Amino acid sequence: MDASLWIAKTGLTAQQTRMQVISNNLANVNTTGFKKDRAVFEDLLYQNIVPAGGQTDAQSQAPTGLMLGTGTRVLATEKLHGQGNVINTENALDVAITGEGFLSVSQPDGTIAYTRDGSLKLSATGQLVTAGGQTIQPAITIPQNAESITIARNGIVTAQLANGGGSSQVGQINLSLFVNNSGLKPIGRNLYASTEASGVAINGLPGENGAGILMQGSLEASNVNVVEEMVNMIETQRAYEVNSKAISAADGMLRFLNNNL
Amino acid sequence: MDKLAFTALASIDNESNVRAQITNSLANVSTIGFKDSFSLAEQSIQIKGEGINSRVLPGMANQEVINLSPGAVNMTGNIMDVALNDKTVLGVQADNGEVGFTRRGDLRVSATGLVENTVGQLILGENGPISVPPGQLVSIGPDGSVTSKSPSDPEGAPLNLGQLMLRDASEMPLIRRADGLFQPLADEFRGRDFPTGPNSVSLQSGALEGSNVNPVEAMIKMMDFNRAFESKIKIISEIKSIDETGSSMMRLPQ
Repeated sequence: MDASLWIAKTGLTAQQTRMQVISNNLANVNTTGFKKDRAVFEDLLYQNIVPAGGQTDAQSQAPTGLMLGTGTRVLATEKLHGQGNVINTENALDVAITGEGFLSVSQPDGTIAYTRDGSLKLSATGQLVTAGGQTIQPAITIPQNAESITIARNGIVTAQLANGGGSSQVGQINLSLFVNNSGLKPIGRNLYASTEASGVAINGLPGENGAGILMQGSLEASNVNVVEEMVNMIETQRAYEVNSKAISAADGMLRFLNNNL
Repeated sequence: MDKLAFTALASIDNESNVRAQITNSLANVSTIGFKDSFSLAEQSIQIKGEGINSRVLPGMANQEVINLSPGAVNMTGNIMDVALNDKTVLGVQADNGEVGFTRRGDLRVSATGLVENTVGQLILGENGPISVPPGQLVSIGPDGSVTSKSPSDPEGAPLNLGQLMLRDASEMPLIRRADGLFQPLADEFRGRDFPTGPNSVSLQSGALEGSNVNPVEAMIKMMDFNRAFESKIKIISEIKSIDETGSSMMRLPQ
């Protein structure tokens, strides 16, 4: 059948995938610590119809070759780890990370996952956990008789004890840095897992060696820009339309062929 | 059968490649830094022999040169995104180790700390690959210099990491490789670096260049080829009916 039918089909499939990415971004416009995705398009391999430098006759060579493209594909979705807006919530257990770094949390299967979502809670045993219930690593236990909790910019957690018990340092929140943030694998529930592409986590103290600082009483909002996504959506829709036009043109030609011969 | 049918067939055959190329342009309307090629030209090949000179067959002329006209530039605000200005191209390492050129500017730092593009091709610097120390804030200057600063010391002197391999291709026609990268047309520079042209090279960071495919132009070309295809099919069907008439005349009366 006609090659252009299948080339146009790759365009439709890729635009469909991009639409899914945009929809997911828009759906997560209010997800704390969400980082937007970008569909990465790549042209497929080219077919060498006439090699460059091939002989056209005994004396002359083809100056340029003829390479026919075979379409496009979405190679990957890339997470864009730009800073989201910091929203002041005045909740003592909300921490926003401004700058690089992730909170590390332990998963039920014993592995470590990473998150930018700093809406922390206290578990039944007084441990600091994420909204999803995963324990912050290293574990921090707040004493029962704590009256208020302070999380400093450098991650030191201090509890003010009730009845004039004074204050005591109860732990330290660490941040994990990665060489390539975009290589982290999103595993849902606002969590990321480290991969070979991201490199291993480098644990450090907030504010040191490139790590960001913590802001108590604030949360990092999603970094999705609604206007940008809307413009992307219009572009995707139009690109989908031109590709479907290409299919209907090739289809029209084949129909004409079948009807007239 | 009249040889006219084969002349029409040769034209349809050749044009199917052109249509495939136009469709490929349309499919890549969202590919970052994609460049259209100058359209293929057909040339006439005359077959000399007996009879009158009515058989001039179309043949494909090899005219695939990258059209480096700019695509739409989108501001992304991502510091690792660069849009190349004018006819500047960026040197990357192809999978087979050769030097290829691209207009793709969506860069990132790989797990091993080297600058690569999102497709995974290693970005070449003037002195080899560019290595970024972990946790550093990278910035790319308009001249292609890659520097980094420690986020904890934003006032400190920037660390010079290298210089992107930027070349001005305004006087060097580029052709496509099978992996989609560009390479110089001149034989001696195939798969290698080439001397930069007279214009200065520059880039804009925080922006990405889209595809330079003009969908309107491609659609109109497609309509044009569509109708040309139909008229050639008409010629073939005319020949068919002429042939049928001929054979029915020759039939012996029952």
